[in-house]
Amino acid sequence: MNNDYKKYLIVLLITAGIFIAVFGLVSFINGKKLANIDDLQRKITADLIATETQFDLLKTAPCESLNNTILSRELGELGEKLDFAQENQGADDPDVEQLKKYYSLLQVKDYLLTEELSSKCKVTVDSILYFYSSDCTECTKQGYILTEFKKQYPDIRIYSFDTDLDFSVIDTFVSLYDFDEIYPTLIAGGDVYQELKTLEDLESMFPELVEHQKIKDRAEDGVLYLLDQESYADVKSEAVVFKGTKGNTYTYSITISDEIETVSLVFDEEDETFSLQE
Amino acid sequence: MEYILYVFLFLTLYFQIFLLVSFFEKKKGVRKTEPSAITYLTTTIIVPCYNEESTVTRTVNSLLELEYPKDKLTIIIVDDGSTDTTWRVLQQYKDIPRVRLLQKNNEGSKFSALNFALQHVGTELVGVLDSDSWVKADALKNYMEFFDDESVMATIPSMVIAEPDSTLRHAQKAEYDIGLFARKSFAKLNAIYITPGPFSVFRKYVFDTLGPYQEAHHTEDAEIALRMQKHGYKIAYSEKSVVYTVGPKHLKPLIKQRVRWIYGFLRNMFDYRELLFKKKYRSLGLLVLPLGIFRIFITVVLFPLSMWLLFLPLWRWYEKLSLVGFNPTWSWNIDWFFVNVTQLQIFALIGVIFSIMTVWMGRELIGDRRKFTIDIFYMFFMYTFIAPLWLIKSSYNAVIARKENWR
Repeated sequence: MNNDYKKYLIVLLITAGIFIAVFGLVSFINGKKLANIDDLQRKITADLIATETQFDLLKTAPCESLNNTILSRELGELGEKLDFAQENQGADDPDVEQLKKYYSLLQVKDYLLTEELSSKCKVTVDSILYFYSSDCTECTKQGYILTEFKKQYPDIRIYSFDTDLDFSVIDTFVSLYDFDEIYPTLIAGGDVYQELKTLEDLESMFPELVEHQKIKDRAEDGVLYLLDQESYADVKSEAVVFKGTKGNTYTYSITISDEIETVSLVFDEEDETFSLQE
Repeated sequence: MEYILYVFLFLTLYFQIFLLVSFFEKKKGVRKTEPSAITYLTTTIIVPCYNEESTVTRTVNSLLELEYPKDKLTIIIVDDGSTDTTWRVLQQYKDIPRVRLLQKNNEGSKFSALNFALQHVGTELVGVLDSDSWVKADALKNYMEFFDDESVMATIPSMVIAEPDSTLRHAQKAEYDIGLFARKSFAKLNAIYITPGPFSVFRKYVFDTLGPYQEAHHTEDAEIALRMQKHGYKIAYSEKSVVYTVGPKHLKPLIKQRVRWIYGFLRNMFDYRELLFKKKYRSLGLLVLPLGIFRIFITVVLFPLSMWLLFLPLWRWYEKLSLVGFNPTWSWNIDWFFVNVTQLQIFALIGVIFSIMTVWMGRELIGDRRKFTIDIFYMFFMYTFIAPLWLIKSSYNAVIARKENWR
């Protein structure tokens, strides 16, 4: 009988141990997450100040020095974290709501900056404005698709705005484009689209972007092809630089022990293979 | 509400760990009997059948092929007023001296057929084999090791679903294999509370002293076990004695079977409520039976909940894939920001791991080498979507019937 009680107690201890471990683990992860949200807030604030400065710079600086300064990439990462925080903490969470406002502001600034830059420096920048609402079922899908589109074509700039957010900046921004309150709404190249756009639809909206990316991807495949060749077996991938393309001919410069060699590859559309140009 | 759920989870986890600890517990004074030293006790096996023309041959043949001295084994087949050709099929055995064929009118419950046969039993041991089940040849021989201990009053076998041929039967296979694990743990705790129709063997002494089978809400096999426990009679489990059974193939008979089992279990528990929370009955009274009742209800919550928690993300993921295709990006640096877990999800995961582990352990007991099969997945499916139906129905029936009794 005594043995019985000993066993009941041991099992109780094990069970309690598991419970404590589970609750401990969860609170550990949540702690990390809270710290991360604080961090996010600080980053966004810093970025906001940075865009201000860039506007000022734009007035005087030459175009070449500005090309890489725009926030886009970081915006993507911040957006992703924000999405996640929203999904798990709920859109009503005051922290998340505050962050979203900051983030929307940052996006608007980045967008204006990009527009300014493209008109001043005569570069085309492909961008999509995406307006969504929490009570729209297609929006989740559109979100997935846009995320994937951004992943495949990193040069696209996607700015997403939650129209349910009680934020005057967004309201003003919406009124600029004057569209009906139907979501998802996409604005690309001045046109308003108010229905779910698939990956293929998006690709057909930006033929140049797609073409550009195709060449970029193919150029990367070409590097791999070159490195596979016996004569370049010892060459590291950093030593190969893509120079340009003309039709199906891809030109690279290869640095081999301080000497620079120029090589051209021909891409065969039918076989989808490369061959060295003599 | 959330806290109640955690209390439930705690109890469930406690019970599972308790079974696990018991499973591995070493029992004191277990002797290994040398094969040559087996004492074969005289045995009678009763096969009650009611409209089993298609299965009874397999059942009886398996008994005839038992590795057991021919002069010590009698088989009594009771045709419980079948309306099909069962009686004609049984005539093939009429010339075998150790087989006795009996026929009676159907009275609506199996216990009467068993009691009818019991009147003709004069051996030391008496067993039952349902006519939809069949035994492995060494099943009875393996029992003798346990009956060697004079205090053992009954022994039960390892029940296995044979050759599953439908999703539901696959699901039941995994379920029965978990049952083997539980059975072993209960045996270690001396807390077996059911002597199932497929091949439970008793000392005749049990019926001589405690009386015959009772109607017991159509679950005479649970009632006799509880009656034995009440009187301190020991029930052993012979894991190496394998008996095959088929289990209902379709949804409706399955639900009907389970409603009968659970209804019977609950009503019998009410009848034997004196066993509950009594020190005298040790683990059986303090833990196994109370938590056994509790477990019936908690599975309605826990299985669907864990399915929901674990499969909803999978579903979302699938939905996403179907839109954008599969383009994984792997990174070794875990950004804790993107790890989202709740306590419930972890518990659900622990539960699923536990289930898979117990299936594994059950299969290990009977030497089944295929440990992780799709059956387990089907079982989760069955417990999520079908079990709530039979649980609700049987609980409702149990409550209604009890009210009638009180009037």
